[in-house]
Amino acid sequence: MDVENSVTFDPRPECGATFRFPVTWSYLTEVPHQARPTPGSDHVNSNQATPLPSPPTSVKPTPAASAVPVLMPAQKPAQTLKSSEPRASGPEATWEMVIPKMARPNAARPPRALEQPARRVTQLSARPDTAGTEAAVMTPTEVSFYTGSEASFVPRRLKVVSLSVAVVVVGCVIALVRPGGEAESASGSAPTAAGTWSRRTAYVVGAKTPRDILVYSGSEDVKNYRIEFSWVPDTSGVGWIFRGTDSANYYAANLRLIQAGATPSISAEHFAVVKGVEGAHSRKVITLGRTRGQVLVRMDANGPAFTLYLQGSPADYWTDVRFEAGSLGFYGERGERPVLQALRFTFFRKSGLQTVVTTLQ
Amino acid sequence: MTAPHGFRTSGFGAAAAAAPATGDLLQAALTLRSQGRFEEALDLLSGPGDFPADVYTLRGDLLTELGRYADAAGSYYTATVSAPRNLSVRSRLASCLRLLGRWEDASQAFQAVLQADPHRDAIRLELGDCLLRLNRPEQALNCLDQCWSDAAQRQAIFGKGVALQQLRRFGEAEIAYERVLALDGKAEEALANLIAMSLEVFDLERVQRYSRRLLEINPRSVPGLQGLTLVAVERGEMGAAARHFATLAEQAPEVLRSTRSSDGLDAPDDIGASDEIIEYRVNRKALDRMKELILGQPARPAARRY
Repeated sequence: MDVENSVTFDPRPECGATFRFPVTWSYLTEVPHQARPTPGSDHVNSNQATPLPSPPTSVKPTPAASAVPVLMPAQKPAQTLKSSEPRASGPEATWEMVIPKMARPNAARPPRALEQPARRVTQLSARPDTAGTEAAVMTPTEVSFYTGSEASFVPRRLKVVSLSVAVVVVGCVIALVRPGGEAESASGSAPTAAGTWSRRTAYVVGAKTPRDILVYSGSEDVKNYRIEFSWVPDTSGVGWIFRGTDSANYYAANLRLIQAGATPSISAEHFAVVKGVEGAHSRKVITLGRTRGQVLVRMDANGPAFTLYLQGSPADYWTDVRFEAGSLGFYGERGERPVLQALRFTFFRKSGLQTVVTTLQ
Repeated sequence: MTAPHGFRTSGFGAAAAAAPATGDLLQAALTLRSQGRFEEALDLLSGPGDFPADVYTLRGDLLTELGRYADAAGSYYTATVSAPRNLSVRSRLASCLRLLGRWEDASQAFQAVLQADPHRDAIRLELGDCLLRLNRPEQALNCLDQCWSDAAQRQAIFGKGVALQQLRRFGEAEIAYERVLALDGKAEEALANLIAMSLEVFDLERVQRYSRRLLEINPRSVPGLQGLTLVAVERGEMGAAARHFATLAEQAPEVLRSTRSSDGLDAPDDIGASDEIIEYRVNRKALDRMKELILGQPARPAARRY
């Protein structure tokens, strides 16, 4: 190694070398790599004197996923209720009621690994015959019919039989009460029609009331997308989920008005629910400029990065690698349905962009 | 005639009626320019006459391409006299002032343009650069915060990161740089600034992490190699330090030559750079030790810290 020839050390015994770390910002005004002609308003072509900002970064390629994209659980909604009123545009959005999967992990046991939930559900999807066993493994809460007060009066086997009968009866009642149940059950493994909303109930460990989730079917396998809507700030707020693999694993964000006025302040929160355990909320208070009426909300999910825009300006940014793909939708607490307008999804698929304009009706 | 900025105008006076052949002249100059014949195009437009603002604008463009920024500023100024509402010319004049290092004049010119047209983020980025050079990070932060377009997003966030770093709001600056890196994974300068920032608080873990990321992007990166070298020296891992130092000597010997004295290397003038440069000095003893290891000579016990 020819260091002696390439490096000249200071011969003075007291001197060594100095590493310098200047703070620079040539990137701020540099001409982007993707050179493009100046959109000159006048006749003379522009030169390089005025640097041009780079074109918008649309979708960065995400790292290759090691796991198969996880679909929503194969719980076929028993019924699809079509809206009675014709819709102006967009695919028909419907509400569906499904019986939630009661996979409620133990609150005292946090998720062991970040990627664990996705992998677990992947296994469930891949092996439907062992789903029940896996679910039992997945669910730390063990069901016991042997409570101390009852054990002395009723034999255990009889209790099991009676409870099984009760479950069958309840199931039959539900199937009979809900019209179209037979048709649905005939195609139980068929996926929900794309472009519809399915309503699910999500139980969160420690929460008193479940959370109603509206999942937009057709977004299960999409990794990168953009959610846009208009929202009139109110105290009840609007919440949405994204990268949802099932009703117990998803990211969520919400906006809520905390101070009304000419320049309203709103809180922006985001958090993750992993195996039914809701993680810490990251909260940010944002003061909007003079706003009358609606606020334009946009969120980009791009690989592990998520950016929230309010009125076209970036308001929050965070990264999370736990869920790589999954459905998007909205959620409401205490049965409240979010009120929003101009809802639009843009899916960045390998085959190209897909924009969906829809409503939450 | 002297412009307020101190540049001589082109001396052709305010444009009134264009000469009959102005259109042809302009077209011919544009053709020559498209062929890369800037001098000839400039000669074509340098004769006496009473020209419209477009001619002075094109002259300014040609002079800028030839690197004659002072002359270009004079030509643009003449154009602004005859067409004071032409924002394009005014922004070009401001850009020339910036290229000339006239930060105060340039910032005022950019602000005037933005007052007339507040939607021009490209101007806002240049104004942010001027304000950072003027060591006004609060104003720069406020300016860049108003960038609204997707096109300017990466650069605006980066500039905000620099402003926050100058304000020593390191946590926010780190977030800003990480955002830039999420949008542009090859933003070497963001990582270099993160290394500098981490070194300022002497967070060796971060210095090492960001140096590695930088070297993944560019194995010849001087800040990256310097970062890994100093981390190894600080940890007493002289073998690793010698390896990184040897790579540094191979990849960028000029850097080490210019670090012989304390006033050796400065950031080039043509890029934005803070006056406050974080320095790390490797003493003679450590250097000798690394030299020994590189040259394969018997090693003496290394000191833990230098």
